[in-house]
Amino acid sequence: MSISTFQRRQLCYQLGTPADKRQFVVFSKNTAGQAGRKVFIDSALAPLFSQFVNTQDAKSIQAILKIEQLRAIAGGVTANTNVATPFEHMETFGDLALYYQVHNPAQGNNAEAGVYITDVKLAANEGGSTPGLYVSKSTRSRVSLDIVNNNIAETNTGVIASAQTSSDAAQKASKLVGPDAWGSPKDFNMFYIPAVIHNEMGLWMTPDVRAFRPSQTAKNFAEVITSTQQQRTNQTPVEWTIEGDSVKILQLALEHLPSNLNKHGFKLIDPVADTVQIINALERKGAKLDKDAVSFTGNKRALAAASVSSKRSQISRHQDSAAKALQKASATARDSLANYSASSVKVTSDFMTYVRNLAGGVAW
Amino acid sequence: MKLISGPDFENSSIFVFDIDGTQLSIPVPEDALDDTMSADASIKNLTDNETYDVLESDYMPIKRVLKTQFRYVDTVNELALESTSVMFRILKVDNFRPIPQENLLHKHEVRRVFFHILCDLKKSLENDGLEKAYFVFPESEEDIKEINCNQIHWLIALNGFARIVPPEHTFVTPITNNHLLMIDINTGTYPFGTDEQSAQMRAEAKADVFDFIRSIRIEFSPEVQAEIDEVRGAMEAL
Repeated sequence: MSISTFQRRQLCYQLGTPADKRQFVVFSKNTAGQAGRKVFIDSALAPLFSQFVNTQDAKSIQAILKIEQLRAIAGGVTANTNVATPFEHMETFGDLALYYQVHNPAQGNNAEAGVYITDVKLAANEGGSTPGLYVSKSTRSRVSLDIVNNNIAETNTGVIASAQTSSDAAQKASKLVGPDAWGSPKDFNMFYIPAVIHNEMGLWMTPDVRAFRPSQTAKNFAEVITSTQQQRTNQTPVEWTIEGDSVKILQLALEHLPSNLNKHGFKLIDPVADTVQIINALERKGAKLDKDAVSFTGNKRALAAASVSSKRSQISRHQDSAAKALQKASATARDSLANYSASSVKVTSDFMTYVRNLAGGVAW
Repeated sequence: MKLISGPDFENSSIFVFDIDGTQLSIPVPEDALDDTMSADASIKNLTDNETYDVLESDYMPIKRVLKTQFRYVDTVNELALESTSVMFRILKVDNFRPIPQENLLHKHEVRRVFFHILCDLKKSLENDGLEKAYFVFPESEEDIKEINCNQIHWLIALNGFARIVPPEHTFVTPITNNHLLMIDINTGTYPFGTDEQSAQMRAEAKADVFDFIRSIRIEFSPEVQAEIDEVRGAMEAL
């Protein structure tokens, strides 16, 4: 069964040892140790946490309350087993997956007793559909979805979409390429990313947690681009519309792309990725980039990413409209979210207060 | 215990459409409103092709009425599952039906026309080069099932190309002597857990589909109602 609510994994390094550079702070005022165990969290998780948890909505407040309840955890693990074989527990609260360890006071355990949250991820069920290229065909105004085995995109429109299953992704994709919210009446190709992989992509702000599967999927996408470039019979370039976090797949695929991309066009909407690097690489390879190749609709994370990306490198001077879009985005962005670096920030308050302040400027 | 949890059907907003005097009421769960698209409440001049959104030279004019999506989570850990998509359309049949052409308000004529529509779809999918092994279509008119609820006589058929997406549950009923109301509903496949669990999830989603269909009301305009009484009454008198 792929639904896992509880799992354990061995730690790569031990909490409290000199090798461990993480800064653990108290989760909230309620978990500072007045009642029950203390609950600590890795302060580097702040930007991720602020992405997943909206401190205003009911569902998020519920998740926060549940995390605070970790202080009442009985453990079920003895101090000895903790020191000798430290395990992490994973539990899901709503669609948030928390990894944590329980440390008890014991000789040889340098960590202060308490519950330590070491990782936060968005959880998702594995939906069974495989990542890859699909084609959506409209027949008698009814849509049929089929998988493309030879990796060649033959329609004029391409989309990267992510959802629980390919059928849900196709629904979303149809809205993205359609003229109105009723969906696209045209045939289109879709590169599907399972939600689980998409959620891992949300963690790309800190490079060390980049997961393996997104890069596999990116390779798979690069193969689609390559096969289409070599064997597409349709002479019009296929125009790929890629939105939000999915743009990261394109960024990861760049190194695997062929040197000529003249049978492809790209349109990035709210890219949460290094847009300048992507646009420059695509331009060098001769991909079609229209005036609206890069556009922003106000997604705060995309704006922050645009700002950081523009500072990191210079966009090609031939991409005037993309440069303007990025410039405009940067002007309205606050970098704190995208440019967060754990080593340079010392968190002095409790974690939730810090997240609220961090988030105040960026998201809500 | 239920394995999947969907929208709260008890808590719905009712979309009412006035279709040339006939009232169609569709209760849409509040939870699904964000994913709902709707045509104007007043749909006039069904005879005029201008009324329709999708016009293809070799097919029936189509008017899109309402589109929505029911989202599901699994009850164990509240993680998202596949959603059920729902599409309401009005089809202007005209000559797109087998000969001899009879009054569409006749139950047997709707069945014939519906089967004809499905055969045409099957042929078109074949022409599009889709693999026949994944086709799901009724073999004959008799394979089309029927249910009666709230005095609506629905015909139902599973159909479509089911390689990736499960086949559609299509529900059809006439709303005039020349127009069909067609609802395409696509549930998830729920490829989770054991085969039994997966089957239970599908069954739960399907049960919601039928509950939803039962919640739909149609109040025919006096003219259409009189014609129905005349046509069906005459049939029953035989």
